[in-house]
Amino acid sequence: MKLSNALLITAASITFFVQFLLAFGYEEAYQLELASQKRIQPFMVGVENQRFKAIVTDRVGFSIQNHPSEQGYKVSYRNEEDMKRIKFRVENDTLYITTPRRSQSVHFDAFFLEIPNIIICRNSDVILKNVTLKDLKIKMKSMSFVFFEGCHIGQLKADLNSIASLNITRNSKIDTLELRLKDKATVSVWKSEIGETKYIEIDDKTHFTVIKKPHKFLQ
Amino acid sequence: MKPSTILFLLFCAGTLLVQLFTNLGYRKGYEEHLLFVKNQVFPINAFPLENIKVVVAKGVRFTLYLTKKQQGFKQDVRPEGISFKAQGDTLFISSKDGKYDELNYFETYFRSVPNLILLDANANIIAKSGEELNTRIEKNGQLLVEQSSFRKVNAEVKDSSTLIFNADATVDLLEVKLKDSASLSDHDANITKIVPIYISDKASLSLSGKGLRALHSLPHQR
Repeated sequence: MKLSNALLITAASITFFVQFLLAFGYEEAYQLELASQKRIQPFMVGVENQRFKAIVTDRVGFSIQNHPSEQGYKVSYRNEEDMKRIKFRVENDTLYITTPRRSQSVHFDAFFLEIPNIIICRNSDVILKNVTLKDLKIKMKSMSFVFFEGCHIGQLKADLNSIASLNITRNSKIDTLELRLKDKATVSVWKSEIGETKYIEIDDKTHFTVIKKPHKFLQ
Repeated sequence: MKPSTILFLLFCAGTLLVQLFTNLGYRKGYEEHLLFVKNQVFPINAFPLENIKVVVAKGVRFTLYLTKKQQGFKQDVRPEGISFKAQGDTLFISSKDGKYDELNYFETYFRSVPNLILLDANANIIAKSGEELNTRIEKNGQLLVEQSSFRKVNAEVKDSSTLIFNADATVDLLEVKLKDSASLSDHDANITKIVPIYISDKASLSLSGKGLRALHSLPHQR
């Protein structure tokens, strides 16, 4: 056999072998990812079915969703290690979700049997997905971002400070929106409907944007 | 010498020569541009009309300044496709093909603020006149009001156009019509009162807290 043929066969074999190993590795990771996507882990042992009235967050990023039968969080397999940095703590009927330092890399989904009526955010990114509630109070501080996606809220009282940003998007519907905007807080409404807006306090440097249907928001 | 070597040398020489010419040409253009930026070379060209009441701009980008001296326009070296035509008391400024091009930029100097109609045009206005500004912005136009003060701004914004007020703009009264998907954007400007004459259902508003308080109650949707 010529030397060039031997080299070619070796190179091809190595390539196939590496691909083979990768495929196996990926398959295992994929199976783990699928398993973790289905698995809801409790926030803490002993509070699996506790109803919370308030959530207090600091330096975390997560979504809030309803679940008919389970309560807890779901995180992708690749983020499980980073998720260990996030601390859950329960005091009376308040759930604290915090981390010692802000991490952009970890984002998880939090599921509740009943969505709490009070959310207090500090340096956090929170997305409420398809949440339906009669009343909700939100207090946002520092660099916090809260998004409403496909939500229906009867009365939303929002109190924003510093450079907090409230975003009502994706066909959300708010019957009554009560705003207290301070410092450089911002509110954006996009492709959503606001029944009535009450401005309790609005600082000069705050900002709000409404894309389409400004009448519904400003009347 | 082999023919392939000759061809190769010719090719290299040609490439180098083209690069040299390109470099020299760009350098000259760049130097002219620098001189323009420093206001050293390009004079103010007179408009083809002295008493201008209305300006209709199409497919161009310009800044409008107020001046007590000569009225006219100042152009960079690059654009060649801008035409200025007068008809009655109206000055028509347009790109040659009527299409918007970022390169079609120039500065204009007016003794008083004309009525401004922007069709797919982008304009900045810098005018501490305290006068009144009447404007209509259509298609994909944009008007940015900066370092300016106006007693009244009367604006009709249509299609996908935008009217923007910068933080250094002062307006006593803003009367605005937002049609189609038009938008009004206030970047912390000092606007005392905003009267929305008409606002369509597809329009967008972006207001500061101060602007929001200046907003007179919205009319009912038509």
